[in-house]
Amino acid sequence: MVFSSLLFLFCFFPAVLALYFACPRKWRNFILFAASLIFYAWGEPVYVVLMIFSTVVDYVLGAAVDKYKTAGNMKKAKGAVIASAIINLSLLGVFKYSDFLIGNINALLGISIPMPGLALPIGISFYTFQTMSYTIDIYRGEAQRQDNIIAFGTYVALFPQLIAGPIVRYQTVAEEMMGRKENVDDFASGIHRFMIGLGKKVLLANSIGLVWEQVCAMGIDTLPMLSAWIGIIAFSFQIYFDFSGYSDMAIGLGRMFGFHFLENFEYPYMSRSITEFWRRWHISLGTWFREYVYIPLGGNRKGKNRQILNLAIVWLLTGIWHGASWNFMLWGCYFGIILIVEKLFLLKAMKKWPVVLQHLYAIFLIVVGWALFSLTDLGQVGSLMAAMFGLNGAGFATGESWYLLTSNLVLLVILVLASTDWPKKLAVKVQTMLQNQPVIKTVVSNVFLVIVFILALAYLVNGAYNPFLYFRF
Amino acid sequence: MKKQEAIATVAVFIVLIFGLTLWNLLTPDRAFSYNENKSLQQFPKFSVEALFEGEWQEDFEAYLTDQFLARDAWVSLYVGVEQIMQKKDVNNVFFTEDGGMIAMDTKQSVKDTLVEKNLNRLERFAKYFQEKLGAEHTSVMLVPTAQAMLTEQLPANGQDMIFDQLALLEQARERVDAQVWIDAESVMAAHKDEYIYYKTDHHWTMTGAFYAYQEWMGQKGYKDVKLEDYDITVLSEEFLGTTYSKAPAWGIQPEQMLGFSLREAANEYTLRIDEGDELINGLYNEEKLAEKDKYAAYVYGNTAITEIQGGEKNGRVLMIYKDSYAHCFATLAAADFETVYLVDPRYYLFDIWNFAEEKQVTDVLFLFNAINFAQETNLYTLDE
Repeated sequence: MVFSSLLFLFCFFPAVLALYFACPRKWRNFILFAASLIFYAWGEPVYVVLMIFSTVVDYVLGAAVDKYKTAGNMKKAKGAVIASAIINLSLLGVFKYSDFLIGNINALLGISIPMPGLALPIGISFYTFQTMSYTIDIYRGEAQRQDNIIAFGTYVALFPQLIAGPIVRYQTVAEEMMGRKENVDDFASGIHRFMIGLGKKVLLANSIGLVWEQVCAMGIDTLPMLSAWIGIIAFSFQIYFDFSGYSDMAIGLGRMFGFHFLENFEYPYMSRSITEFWRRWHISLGTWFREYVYIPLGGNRKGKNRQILNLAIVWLLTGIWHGASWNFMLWGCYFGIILIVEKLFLLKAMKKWPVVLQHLYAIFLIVVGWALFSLTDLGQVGSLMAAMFGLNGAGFATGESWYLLTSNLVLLVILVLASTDWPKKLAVKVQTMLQNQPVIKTVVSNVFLVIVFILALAYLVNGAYNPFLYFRF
Repeated sequence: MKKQEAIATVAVFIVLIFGLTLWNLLTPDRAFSYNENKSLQQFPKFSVEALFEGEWQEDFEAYLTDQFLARDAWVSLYVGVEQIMQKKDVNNVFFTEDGGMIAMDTKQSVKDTLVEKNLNRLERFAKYFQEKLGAEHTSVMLVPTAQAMLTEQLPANGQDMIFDQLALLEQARERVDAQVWIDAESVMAAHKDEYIYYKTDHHWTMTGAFYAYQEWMGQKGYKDVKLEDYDITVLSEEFLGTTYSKAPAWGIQPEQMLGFSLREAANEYTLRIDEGDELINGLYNEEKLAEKDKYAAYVYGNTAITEIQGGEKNGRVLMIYKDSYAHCFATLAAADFETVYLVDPRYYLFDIWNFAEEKQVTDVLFLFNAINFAQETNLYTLDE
């Protein structure tokens, strides 16, 4: 189930909301847990078993880690952590990477081992990372073990962040699992956040996504330069507003139920370097890899060479986490190399550049990165690159390019503005202006909310076009 | 202060979410959407099997979408916002300066391989009947639609986005004998400033069909057709067609639908649909004029076979192998043949050659609009 659907907005969510707040506190985790299982099972009735399996495994292993640690047996505690990692990564390996691995082995050795052809269970990349974080956090003493399996299950399956993140580390919400206090202020700010996310997803991401789809349908091989750039810029906007919109909705929904998730995006397209971009883009994933891979590998504490190796490992993993396909690996390597170069010297040198140039540098590399990311077929990626840099002989522009550009110009301008923090600054400014006029302020903010909601509904009703990009991860 | 603002937000939200949910629940389900001309999904029957396969969930979502309150109004709002955003097409519809609409069929909506197949089928059809009935009794007419003819009304570069129908016509012309080819393009071009295409529908108007009919009759040397020979009646003033359904913008004017009847001839027409036993009087389905799908009034709309009796008693039998462009056209052609058969390959999947033999057809006309011809997947009955 996705948030931006009539099903969620007018069936699932009202029902859960009513049940949740009608019931006493001690039942609320159970209601969320049950609701989350339904939410998940709606599209994947069978795979819900996998998620429950992962939950039970880490519940048991987390308890084991705690027990051994208290008994002073660090060796066994570590064993339990390793067991958790192996089981979770095996789940990922089998359900996400087996076809890819076998396909490559077959190609390499010229043999034909049959592929299992398993469908990717939704959200598996997210929930396995979450359950692992629990066991590791206990081992490190950064979180208490959770005795209540319903509370733990709720943490893993919590529907707001279940299928597309943010990846909530256990320590972030550990206390709120048992003793959260829902309140009107949180609920109201959650609503605002949810509506903004809904608007980003339905009004912006879906609309510009159609342009990318149109460009792809024109045939990647023969695109003129302008069409290729319109296409990849459209994709860049689509993936940002799609994913960050989803995170906004997740954070907003969480807040309505009294959870406080960490931010996942911080205006990434305003970055002045790739290093900065990765501090602003999918923050929860970056944090996860830093906390559970980079730092345990030694981070930057074991000399420059080791640091570079560590970075390379992290970025290879980041790439492949995004999908079982070579282009994601390539995309990870691409950013790994840029980050290493920035770390070695470029970041220092760039400080002397004019700010505009720094922005251009970052945005150019980001968009080129999306070209690697956008198509899973490497041949197609090559064609797109050739088109972008005018190497396919298709010329600069055709009538189609100009049509696409002019027809979507207003949308593109809106997307550029919406990628910056200016709308937020404007909102803050308006709010301070109206500080002494609470009634007008209330009216203004609620009218905004209602308009976004009504428009989103119109777009939802019009289009069955409502895909979530981050489903495949 | 802050608290009150938060309470207001929560209240607004609760009203929106629960209000719309309740309203939806309390509104009775509709069986059919006239605007979209389709049956709407009903509450799906529950079964454990369907649940585990996810089918029930899919149907349920389709049910919610189809039955959503005031669905048409939401789509109109969407179209309005897209227009404000200066989109040049909305839901594959161009908006023209004079407040009309033109359907947009993109290059990508047409598959070259299918076009090639259909050209071969057309060629086969024409050759077969030319041999059998003679070139003077065999005709092929592919009609360019509004998007191909009214190019100056399209937005800038709009023409670059759409499938090139005129190039297709050129290809088709080369495939058939010059005596067989009816040049609808020139006819439509000569009259393109007249009201020959609907502004809210993908069909040609009665007037457009008339000019094509005139050309056909003339080229075949059958008779001279003059506009003055016809009584023209207004069938409806309230027509909003398929293009409007795709993008129901606010402020679009409904259109006129005309009926042409030959003044001199006092023909009494009867129709027989799909070889049934019932004989229907008249060429128009008056009931349809009261509904959304008004174009279906002409010879009772889409059928597998429509048989028209009552034209000139000359022993001639015309078979029109066609799409819906032939429906209003047939109300004119009915006068000149003792019997007219309209055969629609989308619904009639049997052997067309046998059919012509059996009905002792003396004349054939292959009549499609160019875009339908390019996209039609049901012409395989013409394959060997």
